[in-house]
Formats: sequence, structure tokens, C-alpha cells
Amino acid sequence: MERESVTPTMGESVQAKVRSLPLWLIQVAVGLTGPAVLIASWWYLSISGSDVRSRYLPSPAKVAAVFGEATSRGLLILEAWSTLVHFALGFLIAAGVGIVTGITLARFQALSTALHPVLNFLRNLPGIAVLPVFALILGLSGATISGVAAFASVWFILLNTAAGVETMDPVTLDTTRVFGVTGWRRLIHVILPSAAPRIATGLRLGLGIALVVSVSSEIIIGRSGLGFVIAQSMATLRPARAYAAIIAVGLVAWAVFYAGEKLEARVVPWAKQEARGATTR
Amino acid sequence: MRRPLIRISSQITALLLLLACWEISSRSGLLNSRLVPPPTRVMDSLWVGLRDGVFLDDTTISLRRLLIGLGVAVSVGVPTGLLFGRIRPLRSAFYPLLKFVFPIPVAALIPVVLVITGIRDLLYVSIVALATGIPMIIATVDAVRQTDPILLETGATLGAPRVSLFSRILIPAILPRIVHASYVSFAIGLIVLITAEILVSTRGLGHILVLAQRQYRVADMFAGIVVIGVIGMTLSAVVRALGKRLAGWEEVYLAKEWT
Repeated sequence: MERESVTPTMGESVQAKVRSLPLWLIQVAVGLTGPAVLIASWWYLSISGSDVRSRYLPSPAKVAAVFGEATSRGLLILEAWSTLVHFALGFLIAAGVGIVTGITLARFQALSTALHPVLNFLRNLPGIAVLPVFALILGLSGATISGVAAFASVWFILLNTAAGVETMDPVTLDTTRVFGVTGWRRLIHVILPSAAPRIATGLRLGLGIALVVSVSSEIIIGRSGLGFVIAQSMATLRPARAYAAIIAVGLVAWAVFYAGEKLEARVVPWAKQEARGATTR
Repeated sequence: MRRPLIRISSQITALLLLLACWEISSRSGLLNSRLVPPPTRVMDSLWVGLRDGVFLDDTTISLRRLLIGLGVAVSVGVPTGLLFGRIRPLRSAFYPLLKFVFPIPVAALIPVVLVITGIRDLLYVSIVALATGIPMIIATVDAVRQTDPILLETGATLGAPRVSLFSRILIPAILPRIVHASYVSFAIGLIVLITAEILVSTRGLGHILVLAQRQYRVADMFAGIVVIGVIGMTLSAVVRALGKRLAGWEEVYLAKEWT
């Protein structure tokens, strides 16, 4: 045993570690130092310093208490559901419209080229900028929030879908034509699967954008949803409630991204390795 | 569409056709012109705004906030990502936390950051920096970890000093991914900036939109949207050009669509 501790080889030292403590336990412990440092400094900031600061920066314990209470009374769950509905409606509309239009556009190359500057403008327009216009037309409602989320994310999905179809291997298309595979069969069995990686990239981008824009819109004009709770709590000087809602936003976002990732791995398992260079956002 | 002349003229035609459709449907009452003004009226207020310098002032203010925020995000995010990528204990401690924080829409933090900073440029800058900085760190860490270790080992074996291992091998290897990450995350940065300006600012492009909405100047609202869109387009064109210049060898930058 002593020999080992003096000059351990790689295998032996790892083995020794595994025997003394399970590896996953070590990993979890190290992984928890980050959050621990964050919470500790948050705690320190909240109790030290001036009155003003402690008024606006509640301690983690207080936030946890408010979070627990608001969750058990169902308030946060209700508002989280509201946020989820705003986001999901917008995202699903964007996904449907984006994929269908993207495929159609890719089939008409000339049209796609002609519309490129317009689409490029819309893709780079921060979606939240249309909120005042949507609010005038649709009123201060959930429809406005979903509409803005859909508007903000649809271009990412559309352009990526079109790019996925346009960059298909021409040999594949020719081969299917030779074998007489046309129409819907070609669309479902040939075009969609090979464009899927880019479609998945577009959906991943759109997911993030739709989420940010839904919460932003809730903060600005919402009458329900977690964004609304955050804005209202800060306006009525209840910061602990605002922080609890932010944590809930985090959980919702996390769940949405997790579901998206699982769905992607399940529906298009070949997408991940092909869509290289695209960041998961 | 190989010939650029045909391409450009088809694009101009398409744009004019779309604008004409909009103009006609707005003037004929198909669209409510009090909510969706015809493009000629929008261009009018765009022209007036540009001539009187209204847009210019607020654009400068918004751009300054945006660029400082993005600058902070890149200049803090990339070095932090390099540290996390190269130093294992740091990475194990903070990377899971970052991954957890990453999907949270930073816009949710605007109200609480507001009470800490007050309505100052610091608010907008820190919101933009937060929204873009975290994706930058994550992208850098991922890029470092995905760099082929054989590249670095070969360099070390051939006797390259540490500094040039860093500057000649690691940095060029991670650059393409970092530029691509900026392309995506800068879009989010612009969204949160406009959100914050709509919410609380007394200046800036987001504020122009709110003011126009409150006073029911619909054409001015659309003009503001056009200005914001042009800024977004310019920003992404700059990042794209930068990507081509800094990392033109990467396949990603040669693709026609870079969405």
C-alpha cells in the first residue's frame, strides 16, 4: 500500500480513489462547489452592506422560503403553466409555419434567392421590437405574447429548413426520381430525413429565442406568466417573490430545453453529429 | 442564379412587389391603415426622423450600450472559457453551473438588476453582457475541449514554447466556434437590450418604440422597427465578415446560408 502512495501509476491511483469513494460522488461534490460559491457570495452580499441592498437583495433562505410557499399554494405553478402556454403556442406556430414555408421556398430556387434580403432582415430583427405593434393590434393579451414569440423565432426555423433542403445531395434526388419516388412519399421519406439536421438546428435556435421573447413580453405587457410575476413583484417591492419567480423561469427553461434535447435525440438521432458547428442555443 | 445582376434585380423586384402589396392593402382598407400604415408613410417618418437627427441620437445611445455589453461579454467570456477549458478542477466546479444557468432567459433578470444599478447605462450594458457572456464562456469551453489534443501534443513535441502553442494552435482552433457562437448570441444580446429599453429607458431605440406607441404614432413605430432591423442586420454582417476573415478555412463560413 505504501509503495502505491509514493509512485502510483495512473490505473492504480484511479482504482484507489474508486475504492475509497465512488467516483460519481467525487464528481458531484466538485460540481457542487460552483453553486456553493455562488450561493455563499449571494448570501454574503444580501446580509452585508447597506439597507438599500438588503431590501432589494433578499437572502437565499428567504427566497427559498417564498419559493416553497408560493409553489405549495400553487401560485408559481399556475404562472409557470401560463408562461409555458405562451411559449409553446408561439413556438409551435413558428415551427409549423417555418418548416412548411421553408420546404416550399427551397423548392422554388428563384423565389428563395429573390426573397433572401427580406428574410435576412427579418431574421436579424430582434423579435421583441414588434411587440408594440402586436400589442396595438391584438391588445394586451396572451395572443400578443405568443404572436411575438412566433414572429421572433419563425425566421430561424424557416431559413434553416430551406438551407437543409437546398443543400441536399443532388444524387439522392436524382436517384429517387429514377426509382419513381415522387410527391408526398419523396417528401416524407427522402427530403425530410435529409433536411432534418438543419431543421433541428433551426428548431433549437427558435426554441431559445421564443422562450426569451415570451418572458420578455410577459415582463413588459403580461397579465399572467412568470415574467409578469417578476415585474409585478419588483414594482410592489417584494423582491423575494421576484427571485422565486426567476428560479421558476429557470426551471421552466431547463425543462423545455431538456425535453427538446430528448425529443431531438429520439426523432432525429442522426442530427447531432451532422449539425456540427451549430451551437446549441 | 449565377449572374449577380440577375440575382440583385430579382431581389429588388421582390422587395418592391412586397412593398407594393403592403401599400395597396393598407390604402385600400384591407389592412387597417391606422394600425398598419402604408410603407410610404413609414418611409416618410423614417426620413423625417433621420433628417431631424432623432434616430441618430437614440441609435448612438443604443449602439454604445450594445457594443460595450458585447465587448465585455467577449473579453471576459473568452478568457474565462479558456481557463475553464484548460484547468480541469475549475471546469468541474463551474461548468455544470453554467450549463444550468445557460437556458434561463436573461430578460427575466432585468427588473432585479434594475433596482441594483438604477436606470443608467450600466443596467443595459450588464444585461447585454450577461445574456451574451454566458453562451460565450460555454462555447469557448466546448471549443477548447473539442480541439484535437494531437495538435497540441505535436506542437509540444516539436518544441514549440507554451506561448505559441497557445497563440498558434489553440486560438486558431477555437476561433471558428467562437465567431459562430457570437453570431447566435449577439442576436439574443440585441433582444434583451431592446427589451430593457422598452421597459425602463428614457433614451434609446426601444424607448422610441414605446413613445411612438403611447402617442399612437404608428408610422414612427414602424420606422423605429426598420432602424432596429438595420442595426441587427449590420451587426450580423460584421460578425460574418469577421468570421470569414479570421476563420475562413472552416467549412461553416463557406456555406451559403449561415443562419
